[in-house]
Amino acid sequence: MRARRLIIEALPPILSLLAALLVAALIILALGENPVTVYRALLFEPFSSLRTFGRVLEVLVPLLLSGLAVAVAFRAGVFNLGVEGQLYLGAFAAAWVGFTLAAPGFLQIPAAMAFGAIVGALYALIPALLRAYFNADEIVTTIMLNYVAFSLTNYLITGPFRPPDAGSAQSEAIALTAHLGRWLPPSRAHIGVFIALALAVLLYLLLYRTTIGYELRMAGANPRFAEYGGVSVRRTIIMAMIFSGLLAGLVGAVEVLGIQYRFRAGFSPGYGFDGITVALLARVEPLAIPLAALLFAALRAGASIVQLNTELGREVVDVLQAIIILFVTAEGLWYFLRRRRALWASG
Amino acid sequence: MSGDANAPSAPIVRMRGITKQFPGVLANDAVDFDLREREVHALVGENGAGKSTLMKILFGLYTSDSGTIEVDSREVQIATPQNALDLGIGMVHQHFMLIPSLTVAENIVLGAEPRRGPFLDLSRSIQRTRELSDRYGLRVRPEATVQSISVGQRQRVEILKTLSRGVKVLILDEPTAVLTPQETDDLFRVLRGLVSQGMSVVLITHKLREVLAASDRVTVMRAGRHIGTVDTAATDTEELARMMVGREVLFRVEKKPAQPRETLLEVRDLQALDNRGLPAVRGVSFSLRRGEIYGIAGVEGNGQSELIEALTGLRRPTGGRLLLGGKPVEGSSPRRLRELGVAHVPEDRLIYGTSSTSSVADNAIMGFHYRKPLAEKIWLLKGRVISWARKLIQGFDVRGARPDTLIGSLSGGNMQKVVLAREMSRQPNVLIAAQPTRGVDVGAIEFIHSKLIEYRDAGAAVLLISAELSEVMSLSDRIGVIFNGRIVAEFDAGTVTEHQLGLYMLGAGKVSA
Repeated sequence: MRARRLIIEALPPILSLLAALLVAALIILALGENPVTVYRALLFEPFSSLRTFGRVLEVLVPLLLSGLAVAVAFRAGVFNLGVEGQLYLGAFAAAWVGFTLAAPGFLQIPAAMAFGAIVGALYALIPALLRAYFNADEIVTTIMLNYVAFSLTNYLITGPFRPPDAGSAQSEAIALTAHLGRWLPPSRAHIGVFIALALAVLLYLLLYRTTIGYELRMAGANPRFAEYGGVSVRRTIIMAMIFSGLLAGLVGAVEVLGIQYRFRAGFSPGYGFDGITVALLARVEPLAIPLAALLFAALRAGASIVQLNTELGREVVDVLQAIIILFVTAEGLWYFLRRRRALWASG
Repeated sequence: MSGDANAPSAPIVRMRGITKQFPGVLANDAVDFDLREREVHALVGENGAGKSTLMKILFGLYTSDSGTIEVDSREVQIATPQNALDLGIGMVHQHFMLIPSLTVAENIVLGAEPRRGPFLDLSRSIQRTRELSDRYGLRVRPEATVQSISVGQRQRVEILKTLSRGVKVLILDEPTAVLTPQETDDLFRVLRGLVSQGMSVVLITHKLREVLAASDRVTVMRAGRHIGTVDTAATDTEELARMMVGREVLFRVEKKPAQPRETLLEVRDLQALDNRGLPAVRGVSFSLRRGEIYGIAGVEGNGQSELIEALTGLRRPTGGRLLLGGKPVEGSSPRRLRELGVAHVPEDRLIYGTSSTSSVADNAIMGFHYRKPLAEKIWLLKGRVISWARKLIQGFDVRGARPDTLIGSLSGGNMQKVVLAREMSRQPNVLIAAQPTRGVDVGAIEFIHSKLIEYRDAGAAVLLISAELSEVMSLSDRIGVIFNGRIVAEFDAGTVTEHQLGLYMLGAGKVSA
């Protein structure tokens, strides 16, 4: 029964994924390339060697964490489109701990990650409070605050924290003791992947096994029901955004400690926005998010292989991703309409 | 069944072997249905019996998995409501689909507007509305905006809108749910008039009294199947009830005289605003004692919703007092009121009472979820949640439900049982039950009524708010009538007639009582 239900839940996203691949194949054909070659490069070759798999894992970590960040807010009925900005601030905060504090790794790494997460959460608190107390649409405020975060971090590394020998827009390098261990050389895959997987499980436990998670899910599913049941929806929204901001801050922190080793302007190619796609494809289920993140990570890693083997640029992956988004959201819509019809039918 | 000895005319609609499967529910199981020309045909059955589904198939909102439909003896495919309208079949839904800010005439012509060039021809719209209104004897004011007219009048507009599409078969889905007894009588007169002009009407309802008052024939459905079709003149309430639930139903609520004790909840001059910021509760006062059921009767929209919300902490009162066991509690949060022993069966189970996209278990624990035995510190104990949900499902005989079933897939009656089970399981001191049996089948109504009385006898104070007069009258020990945000009269149950209450509900007061 459980297995059957799992299949029923998982089938529509898989079908829309296949449909998206089919449509993209037509576009690739129209561009005069062989879709089979392209898809092999995108979906199989990333897994064909440890080196390329390591590259997949590099991208998997930020996508997974940012998917979780989007998901936790979404489950409470809040749209955090500000993960990108929050992760920039988190990254800077973590880098700051990395290049100012001198401490052994077992202290410095947790301190840098915690500080990055907290700064991300504090930044997410702004739109949360605006929504909870002034009913300001968080979709608008979170997007606007992204630009504030980009500019603020830019100012910090070109102004007060400008390294003495600065050539380009970046901070000082973090101490060696703050580096996250790499375990799949020559790739840069680091132990952050285990942290991210553990957080997916933790988020699952939070949502389904704690009272806070229950209130959060109910506030998202039907806020008036939650309010009726004595849940403060206002408080729940704020909590959800804090969790979301913590995770978003961690995206940046882990990226700095594991890959970049310093804060660089523009280091994220939009992980915060990719997280939305990841979360949607995973139907906002924490345990499905690693799988969705793995798919998009493979696409990203495969993009360079495509570039080498065909006339197509990496943009083909952006196109493919966009088509997947279209299908997945359309499918979500269909799912929503079907549920509504079922409701009408029960009348 | 078809083929009665005195069949006066050929059926205009003939449905044969209609089967419709929804996920987990067989809504229609080889159902036959005939509608004769110039008849009012009542379609009755418990909630979830499949009557709305059958008619939505006829109106093209659903397509059946198998079965045939004939209209005027020709087999037809009805895939969309437009197909149905083209065949002369129209449906008036339970929830009105009118645009409140537009006028009556604009609503009626919407979708088939008379134009002058690219613009709406307003005077012709009004003229067309007048013609329709005269032809069918449905009085409306074409220039009035829909938001300014009463619910009964809105329903007339809906009916006129459907008639304006030239239909000869009119399906009405639970049309009386929102009407006062007087408005209901008016509606039935209108239906008679339509039939005399050659129209055929299907009346979906679960109120047996209305079936007897308004229909020529009755078709009873139960659990997706056609149970029987009988001439109304040849049947009575008991027979129909038996066909609907498959067993005898007690219609008189069995209860001992109330033994009221001390006052538990005292409401003094309570005031509250509605969502638009206008006064809705305008000084309500009453007191509720242990061991009694206090019924509030009234036409919907006279401040009941806002009153309930003010009593349960969902709406902040703007004035007056609320005393629970002598202590002021006005303005307390819903959680605080719940902890003080106030339980609440909300009037709309889809809006406040449940989260329809969540599981039965998630719905069953709301309000208890943070306390023992379901929770320890921050942890919600899954095993206990499941067994808690099982206990409620069993105790209240919720059909077709398991803890992990989506509650939205249950029938209205079964959903309501979950809500009731949840609220009663807290052993409340005060139970505020709003429309506890709305859209609920006969079998469940009886069950819910007996539960309410059981609670009264156990010493709880029950506040019953219902638009269903017979319910208020048969359950309550005292009755207050709410009109325009005030309790305008209070009676001991048994000393007042339905007619008298109806007059107070319309604001007529004692004058003609």
